[in-house]
Amino acid sequence: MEILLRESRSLFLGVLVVLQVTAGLLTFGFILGIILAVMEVYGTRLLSLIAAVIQRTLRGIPPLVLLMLAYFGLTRIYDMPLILVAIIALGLRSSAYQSQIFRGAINSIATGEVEAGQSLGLTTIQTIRYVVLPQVLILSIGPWTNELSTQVKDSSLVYVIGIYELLRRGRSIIAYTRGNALLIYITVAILYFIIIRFSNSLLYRLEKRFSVPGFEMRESSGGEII
Amino acid sequence: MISKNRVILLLTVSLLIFTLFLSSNIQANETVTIGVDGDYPPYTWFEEGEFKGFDIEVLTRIFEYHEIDYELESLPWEVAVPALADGRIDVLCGGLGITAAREEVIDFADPYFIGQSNIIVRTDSGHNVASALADGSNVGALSGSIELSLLEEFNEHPEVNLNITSYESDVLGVTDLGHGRIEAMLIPNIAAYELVEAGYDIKLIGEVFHDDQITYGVTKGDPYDLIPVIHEGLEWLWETGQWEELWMEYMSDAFPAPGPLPLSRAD
Repeated sequence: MEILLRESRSLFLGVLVVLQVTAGLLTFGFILGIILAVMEVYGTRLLSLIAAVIQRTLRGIPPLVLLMLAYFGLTRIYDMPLILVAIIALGLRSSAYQSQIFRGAINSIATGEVEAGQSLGLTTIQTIRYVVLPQVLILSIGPWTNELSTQVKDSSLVYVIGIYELLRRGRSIIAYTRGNALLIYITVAILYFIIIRFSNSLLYRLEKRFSVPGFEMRESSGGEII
Repeated sequence: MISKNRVILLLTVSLLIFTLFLSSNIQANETVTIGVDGDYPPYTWFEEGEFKGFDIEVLTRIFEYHEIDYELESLPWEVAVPALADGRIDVLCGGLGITAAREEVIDFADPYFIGQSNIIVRTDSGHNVASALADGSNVGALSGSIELSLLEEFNEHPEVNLNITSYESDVLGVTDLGHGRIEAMLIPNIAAYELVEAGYDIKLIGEVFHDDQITYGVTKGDPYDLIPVIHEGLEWLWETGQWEELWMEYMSDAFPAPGPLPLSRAD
C-alpha cells in the first residue's frame, strides 16, 4: 500500500497523459470524422469514394500498426513530440469510426429539411452547416460516448512508442519493485474506470442539456448505464 | 456566426502550439538522445515519475563530464534497437548485450560487464541443471533477451524440444514459475540474484556461460562520435573510483565490479 502512496504522483501524471492523449485524438478524429462523413454523404461520387476508401483503410489497420507507422514514419518527416505522434495515429483511426457515427446521424435527418434549407436560398454548405450539423451533433452524443470509452481504453496502447501513460507506469512499478502486480493492476483498473465513468456522465449531461423537446432521445440518457 | 475575436483567439492558440513544437524541435537537434526502456532493473527503471538505474547514472555522469547536453527518451525494448538503427535515438542503454544480429544494424562501444545467465526453479523443485533444460521441459525467458535466443538455439538440436514461453518482465515469469506453468527460467545472473533478494520462492541451480557482453549502442557509423566519448568516460569513472561506488550501489553484491574499463571486446 505504501508503494501506492509513493507512486501516487506518477500515477496521477499517468491519468493526465491518458486524458491528454484521449482528448487530443478525439478532437482530431472529430474534425476529420465530420469532414469524412460530409464527404461521404454529400460529396460528388469521387469525393464520396475517396472518403469511403480512407475510412475503410483506417478501420482495417490495427492501431498498433498505425502507431508504429507513425512512430517510424512521421518522425522522419518532422521531429515531433511522441504524444503528438500518438494523437495523430490514434486520431486517424478514431476519425474513421467517428465518421460512421456522423454518417448515420446525417442519414437520419429527413431530406425535406435539406430541401427546405435550399429553397430558402442557402447554399449546400450553408445547409449542412446551419441545418444538418447542429442536429447531427446532438444525435451523435449517444453513440459518441461509446467511442470515447473505447478510445480511453485503447489509449493504453501508446506505450509501444514509449509514452508513459497509466498502464505503462503501473507496469514499471511492478518491474522495479519486483512484485505488487495484483495491487497495481487493480489500482490501474479503478483509475481507468473512474476516467470513463466521469467523462461519460459529463457527456450524458451535455446530451440532456441540448435535448430538444419533441426530439427523440435515448432512454438511457439519464446516465444510468455506462 | 463566428466572431472576429474568436478567430483571433484560435489563431493565437494555434500559433502558440506551433512555436512550442518548433522550440522542442530545435532543442532535440542539439542534444544527444539516450533511449531508455525503463523496464530492466538494475540497469534502468522508472520510479516516481523518473528514470533511474545503473546505466542512466553512468551515461549521465559521462555526458556531464564531457559537457554534452543529453535528454532521455523512453521507448519499449521491442523497438529500441530499430529506433537506434533509424537514428530516432542516439545512444541505447539498458543492459544491452552485443549480438551478431544487432551488430548488423547498430554499433557498440566496448563492453563494461560480461554477464552470464542462471537457471531459476522453484525452491521445492527437484530439477538440476541437466533436467531443467532437458527435452520436453517447459522453460521461460524474457522476450527479446539473449537468453531467449539461447534457448531457441538449444532447440535447433534434433534431440532437444523445449517448450519456450517468453515473458515481458521477470516478475511475470517468476509468477508463472510459482504457478507451475513453467518449470525453469533462464534469466541474467544479476536479475536472478535480485529476485532471490526480493523474496521470491526460487533458487538458482546453475550458471549458463555465454559471455553476454553488456555495453551501450550507438547509431551505425557513430555519426556523433559517441563511442570515443563513452570509452573515455568509462575509463574516467574507473580511474576516479566512481565505477566501483556505482556498482556497489546498484548491482547485486554477488558480483565484483568489473574493470579496468573499458573491457576488451571478444568476438
